[in-house]
Amino acid sequence: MAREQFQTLSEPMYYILLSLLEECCGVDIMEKVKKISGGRVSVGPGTVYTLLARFEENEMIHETKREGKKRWYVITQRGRVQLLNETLRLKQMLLDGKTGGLL
Amino acid sequence: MKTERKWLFDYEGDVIAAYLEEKARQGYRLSSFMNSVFGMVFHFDEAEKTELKYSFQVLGRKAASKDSVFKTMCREAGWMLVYQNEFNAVFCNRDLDAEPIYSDDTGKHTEVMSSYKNYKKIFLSAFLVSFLSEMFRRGLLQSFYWFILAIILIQLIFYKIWDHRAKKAMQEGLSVQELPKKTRKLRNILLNSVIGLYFTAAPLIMLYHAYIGQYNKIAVLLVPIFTLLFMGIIERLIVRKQKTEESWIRTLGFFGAFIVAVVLAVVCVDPLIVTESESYTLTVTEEGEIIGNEEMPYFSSLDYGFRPTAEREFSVSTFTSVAEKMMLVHEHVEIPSDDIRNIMLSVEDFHYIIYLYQNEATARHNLAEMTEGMYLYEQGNSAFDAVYVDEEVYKKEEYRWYDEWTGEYITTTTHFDWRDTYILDGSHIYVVRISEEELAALYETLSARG
Repeated sequence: MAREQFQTLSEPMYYILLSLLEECCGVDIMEKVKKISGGRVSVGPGTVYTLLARFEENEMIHETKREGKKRWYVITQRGRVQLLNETLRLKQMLLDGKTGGLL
Repeated sequence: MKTERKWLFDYEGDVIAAYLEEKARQGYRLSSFMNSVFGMVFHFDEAEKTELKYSFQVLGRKAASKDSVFKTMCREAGWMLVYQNEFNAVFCNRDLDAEPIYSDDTGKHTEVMSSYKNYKKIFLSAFLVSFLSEMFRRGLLQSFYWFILAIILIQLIFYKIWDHRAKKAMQEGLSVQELPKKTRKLRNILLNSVIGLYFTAAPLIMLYHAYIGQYNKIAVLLVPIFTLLFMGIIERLIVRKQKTEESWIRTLGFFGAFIVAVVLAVVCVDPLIVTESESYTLTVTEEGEIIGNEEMPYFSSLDYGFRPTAEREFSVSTFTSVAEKMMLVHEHVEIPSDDIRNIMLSVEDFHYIIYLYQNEATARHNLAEMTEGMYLYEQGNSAFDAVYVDEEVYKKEEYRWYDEWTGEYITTTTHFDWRDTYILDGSHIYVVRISEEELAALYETLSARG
């Protein structure tokens, strides 16, 4: 079954939104994602570019400034809610894993 | 500097990237590429053997690398743009461990949709060229049409397979994969076979047309070639310089360029195509031999011509060779269905009149109508000519025949024996004896008929 857009967030989506809690540009996002995930997750420029466009279209982020060909973004309230929901979902999954005796 | 040009049927990004990386290892650096219905054509320059990481991107309207933001992001991530055209872009990175431009399937959706749109555009232009070919429906050009159509169909079928699988994978949340290697191999074998077959057959067909003198058919082949050539020039000089990102302006520019290219191509080949509209009339014998081959547009086939089975008018051009005319005659002319006078010859000084008919019954009827008491000698089955000579003439060894139409004298050494049939210039002739009185009556009848 097709996944509804942003009902759940993919790993790159999650980390990009997370990095946008502070204003940053495309390259900053790539570096930040790597840093936040301790090098476990990395995103390519094409992925960042496509996701930023989709997030902006869905008002989850907004552009804050432009300098030449570079653009800076920051997360919106709507984006925060989505990110928080996803974090809570993941947390619940972790608890369920414990309850189920996995952890 | 040594350069190399390579042709690939693959349009799958990963396959192309792997190929470019291998070429870099061999010492060839990509300089440009071109999309075509046949596949991708890559141009390489000789360079130092090096390890590079390549990325082949399909450009969509939004994700186009013409978008400077995208290019900037790629550059900052170490991906340098090598070359791009309207459909694709190639980036390379010196860092072999660099993160791919698309680290997940996020961009694949756009990629699938965009490549579909791009190929649709290429297919459409190829269809236009094919349609142009179909309009002319001439020899080689017609075969070119089928050739293009076969290529398009193979590409389209395999593209659709890929498109279907990719969309299904995305719906199921799975990774978008390229076509399996075996499927790609099958596609490439099919495409190679069609292209190989055409380029083997085409020179043979051209030689054949040249042999029978159908130079115009070879010339018409130049139309799609010239069109593609002019399209390339216009694309390089004008379309590529368009700064606008508005797709409708770009599309308009593309089709405008195509129309201009077609017009230019037709104008270039014009002398060999347009002159075909000039009408010429053929005259042939029942055996299919051409005995008249002059420009006589004012003659209809009723006065001067031959008997096409389906239609009465038949035109040929300056460039129609004798061999081609013969072929057409054999193709169209069957047994004469009516009794039309073919040609009239008169003996020098008009002492003797020769009337050639294409049908024996008509000859006999007209002769009987013109003079009484004459004698028509019949022999053979395919009589369509009748010759009048008198006793003195047929004893001579040499005759000079005056052709009224050309105004020339034809000399023949044929000895007309009494009561026999002969073949003169490929036509059967019937020798008939008439008296001086009958001849005078014949003149009178002919004069009265104008």
